[in-house]
Amino acid sequence: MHSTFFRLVWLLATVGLAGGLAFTLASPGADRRVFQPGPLTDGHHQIEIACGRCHTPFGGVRQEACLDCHAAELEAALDSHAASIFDDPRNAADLNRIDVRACITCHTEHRPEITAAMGVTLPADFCAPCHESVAEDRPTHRGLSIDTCASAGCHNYHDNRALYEDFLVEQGDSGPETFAGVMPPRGTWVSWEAAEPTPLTAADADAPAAAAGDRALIDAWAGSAHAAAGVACADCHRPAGAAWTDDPALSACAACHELEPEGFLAGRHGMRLAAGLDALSPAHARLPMRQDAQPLVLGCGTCHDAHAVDVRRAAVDGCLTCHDDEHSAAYADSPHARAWARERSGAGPPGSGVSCASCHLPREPRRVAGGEGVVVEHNQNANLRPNEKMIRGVCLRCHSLRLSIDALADPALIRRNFAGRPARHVESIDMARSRRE
Amino acid sequence: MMAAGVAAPARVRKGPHSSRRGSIAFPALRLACVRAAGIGGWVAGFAGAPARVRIRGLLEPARFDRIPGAPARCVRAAGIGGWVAGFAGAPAHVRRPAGSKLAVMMKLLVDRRPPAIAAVALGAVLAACGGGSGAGGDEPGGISPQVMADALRTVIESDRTVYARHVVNRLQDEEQVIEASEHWQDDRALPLPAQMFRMGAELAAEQTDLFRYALLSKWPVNAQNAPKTEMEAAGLDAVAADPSQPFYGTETLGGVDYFTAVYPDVAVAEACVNCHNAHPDSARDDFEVGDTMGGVVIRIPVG
Ligand code: HEC
Repeated sequence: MHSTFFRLVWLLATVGLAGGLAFTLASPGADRRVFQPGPLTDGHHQIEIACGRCHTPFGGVRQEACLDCHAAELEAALDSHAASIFDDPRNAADLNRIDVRACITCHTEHRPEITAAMGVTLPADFCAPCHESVAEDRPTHRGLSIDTCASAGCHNYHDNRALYEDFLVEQGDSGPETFAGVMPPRGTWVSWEAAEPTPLTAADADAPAAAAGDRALIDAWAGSAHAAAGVACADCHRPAGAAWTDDPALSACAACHELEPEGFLAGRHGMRLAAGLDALSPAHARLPMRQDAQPLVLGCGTCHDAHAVDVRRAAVDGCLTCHDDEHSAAYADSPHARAWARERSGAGPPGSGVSCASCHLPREPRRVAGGEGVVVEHNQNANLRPNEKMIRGVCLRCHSLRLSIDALADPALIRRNFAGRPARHVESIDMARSRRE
Repeated sequence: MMAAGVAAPARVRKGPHSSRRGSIAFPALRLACVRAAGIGGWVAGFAGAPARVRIRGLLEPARFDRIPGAPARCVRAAGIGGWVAGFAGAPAHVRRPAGSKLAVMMKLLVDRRPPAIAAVALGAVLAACGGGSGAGGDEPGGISPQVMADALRTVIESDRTVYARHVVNRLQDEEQVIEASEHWQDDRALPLPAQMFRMGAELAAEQTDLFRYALLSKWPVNAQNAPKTEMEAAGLDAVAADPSQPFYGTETLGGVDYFTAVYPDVAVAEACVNCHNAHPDSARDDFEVGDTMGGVVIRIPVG
């Protein structure tokens, strides 16, 4: 009797458990976090319920899954360790020690207990298998510990565009530490349907009576770049003849603004949308966010007021509406903020101010539609980590390479939002120069 | 697991295996043990995934050499094996005749399954712990590896000479229109001949694994281009000593057998020697036009 009862309980529990798990696994909309062997890194937790973005049905991770999102930035970074470099049988012995062709060799997910900066899950001496004897060729490197190659501000594994030797030598001591540089003028790249847009006035507002109640909105729109460009209410609120919506989707903006949404979707702010999930909200964030921002969701309109089209709001206030970490809070008292205030008041020339966006969503010269243009990079991650990514596109516009490298290697200075001087000097420029003498 | 359960009745109908039942000396004690083992196995199996995380945390390597990739897979497989064993083990105590359908089912399962399931679980553990094995190369039907290597070399060498003479040497050194630079994207310059070579080799490798080729030297600018295998070292020595003869050999790399050919790479233009002699990373600064500066290594996987 007793044993039959036990068997039944065991069987029911097993079948129930297996059935429950199988059902969860098979339903695409279900919350499948129960299968997570550990929390994801800061870069991926936003899309943790989209298991299939990375995993095959049987739990493996395709290399292409990484490349689907990261290939373009690796190519742009002139990846110093591109898989193709090593994919030759002559490297078989090295690859047997560390197969650097697969992303997951160094970046294993769900392993917070061994995850270091940049999502690296190898011990900090991961350069050793191939570069242990570097000091033999470079006396400047004698006595340096192999676990500091990539953590001291000198080298990165993938992106060395601002750190390679010839660049250090060339830029090393050019100009003063800080000079009066400016950001390039902003460019907006829109695809016009009509060659010559006809400017509109408040009288042209074509919102239905029920939606047009707010006179102030209409007036703001009438003075905006959208009205000047002939974009009326229905163009965004009733895209392609669909029903009226109070909250136009990203696709409504993307109908004219092609490049900016591309960057937005590739970065943290838009990656949930890109993965087919609902939009990111400050409530999802691991970074400190303002309490009153928790209900917000991220779309174009969160930072940009489409009726006023005041892009300056997006440049600082848009960020500080949600972000509440030390670095963000310290902005107001930083030298960069003072330059921004001078520009806004007219005391500084256009482009001389430094907003949040100047560094994190910077204006970048780019080849667009056959010509050279300036595009605002809306992928906040394109200039974020490793932070030396910022040097060439941002810091060098107003600062020397020497100061930039030192400042970005000083976490305390970054928390103070660059109020003060770097505490430590990174010797990479001096080392590079000494080899040329 | 399901397949095993479904297959059981047909096999057992041939004759139930009940002989082992007689060997139970202390039915009650054994019953308790098996039950405990079953529950333990089930719990262990269920907890397998989180346990893996904890155990890997303990095994966290201090040095690169001790990355516990295989142990983690073993633990995971052992966990799943434990669960499977729990499935088999828990009802294993029911070796007494029983009337209910469930009991018959269980008995059928039990009488033959544990060894089989244990074998499957063990197999899974072994499979999870073992690495993949290398695959052999295809037979290049009809053409000998040496002829194929010689033919490839002719194409590679001709393109390389044309690029060095009629692009780099002409535009950089003679007409002084544009420079060749290692940082050609940054400097909006021509890629170096060696970079041109490498880009071609990498693009080819993306499209075929019938052959691989690389540009190496005993006196490299890039230390990664120094000989790495015995065959490379012997080949580069041979073509440096006698550039009129290619070097042929065979070697096994990553479990694959290769026919390996090494051909001399000669300084065909002033540009070659000027740049190498002046480069801060170059292992030599006395190259002259006509010197063998290194070698082209072509590998063809052979059966
Ligand atoms: C403008 C400079 C420059 C010119 C011109 C040049 N090279 Fe190189 N060469 C390099 C650099 C830099 C490398 C290392 C490339 C790398 O990182 O793999 C290299 C690599 C090589 C290698 C591989 C071994 C090594 O040194 O790393 C050989 C062999 C070689 N070059 C031969 C030649 C020959 C022959 C020519 C003329 C046809 C030539 N090079 C022209 C700069 C140059």
